[in-house]
Amino acid sequence: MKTPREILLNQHKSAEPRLDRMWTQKLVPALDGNATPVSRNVLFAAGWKMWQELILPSRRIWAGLACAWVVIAVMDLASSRTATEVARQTKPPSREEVRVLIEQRRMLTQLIGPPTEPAHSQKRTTPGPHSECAARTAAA
Amino acid sequence: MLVVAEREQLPVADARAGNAEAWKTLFRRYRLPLYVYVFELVRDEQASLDLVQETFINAFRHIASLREDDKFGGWLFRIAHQKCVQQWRRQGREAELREEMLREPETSSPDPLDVLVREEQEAEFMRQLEKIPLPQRSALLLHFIEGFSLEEIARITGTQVGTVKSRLHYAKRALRKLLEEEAP
Repeated sequence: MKTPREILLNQHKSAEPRLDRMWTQKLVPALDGNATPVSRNVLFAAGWKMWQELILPSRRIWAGLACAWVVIAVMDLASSRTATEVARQTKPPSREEVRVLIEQRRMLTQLIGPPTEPAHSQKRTTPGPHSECAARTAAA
Repeated sequence: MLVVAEREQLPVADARAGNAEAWKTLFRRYRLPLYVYVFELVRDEQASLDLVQETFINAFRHIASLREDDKFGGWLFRIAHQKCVQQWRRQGREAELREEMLREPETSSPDPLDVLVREEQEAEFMRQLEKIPLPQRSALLLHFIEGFSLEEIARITGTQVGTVKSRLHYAKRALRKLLEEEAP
């Protein structure tokens, strides 16, 4: 009678020489840090790993997202074209409309007074030309 | 009676310090058990060799994260298990794995009996092992190959102890039944 462990290890004993070759050819250099056995180009290896682990397993989801973005882009393009066309089709205001608008603004000004500018907008923040400064001093 | 791999003194601390000889000792100790585990799950010779290689490279790089030296075996098998899961994903077998997990019975009961195989049944044993669903096979292999405890198997496979108990129970029962059916 044998234990499952004995059977399993015996069944795969033939793999030992290949495993030993792996040690000398791949793992010793990796351990020394002289070379990366998976790939010499670390960036390429990282990119490939990301592709395999992040993109490839969920390729349907990524494809679905890509499709959704294409649909959104197409809809956006279609809607912007319509807006331009609508703007082009809109007629300019007639003289009568402009006159009414000016009249309304004038009435509004009479009712609430002219718009006052905020104080800080009148304050000069940058120094003026030197000649101006000299003229002010002379006047004082 | 189950022959469990002895808890030997392994040069894990030296390996952590970057000692190549220590790593060689660890490699010689775990190369075949690890290969057997990976092969029986992936069923592809070249892919299994690649996964064993990747497992050791990962171990070289991350040995500093191992807190308890006597847990090295479990830690190594955990890396290999994760590599197998990634391989299943690449093969598109993740759905199959998930389905098998859903089909698993929820109940669990202790199973003190272990499997012993007659010499003439060895080939049959290997064939029947292949028929066992992946999650159960994984637990069974970890139990057979390294004699890991339920807690260790749960840590390696990222599952609950109760689930491992249940998987082991049903896997052993299924295997024993299959072998009994074949017995003359």
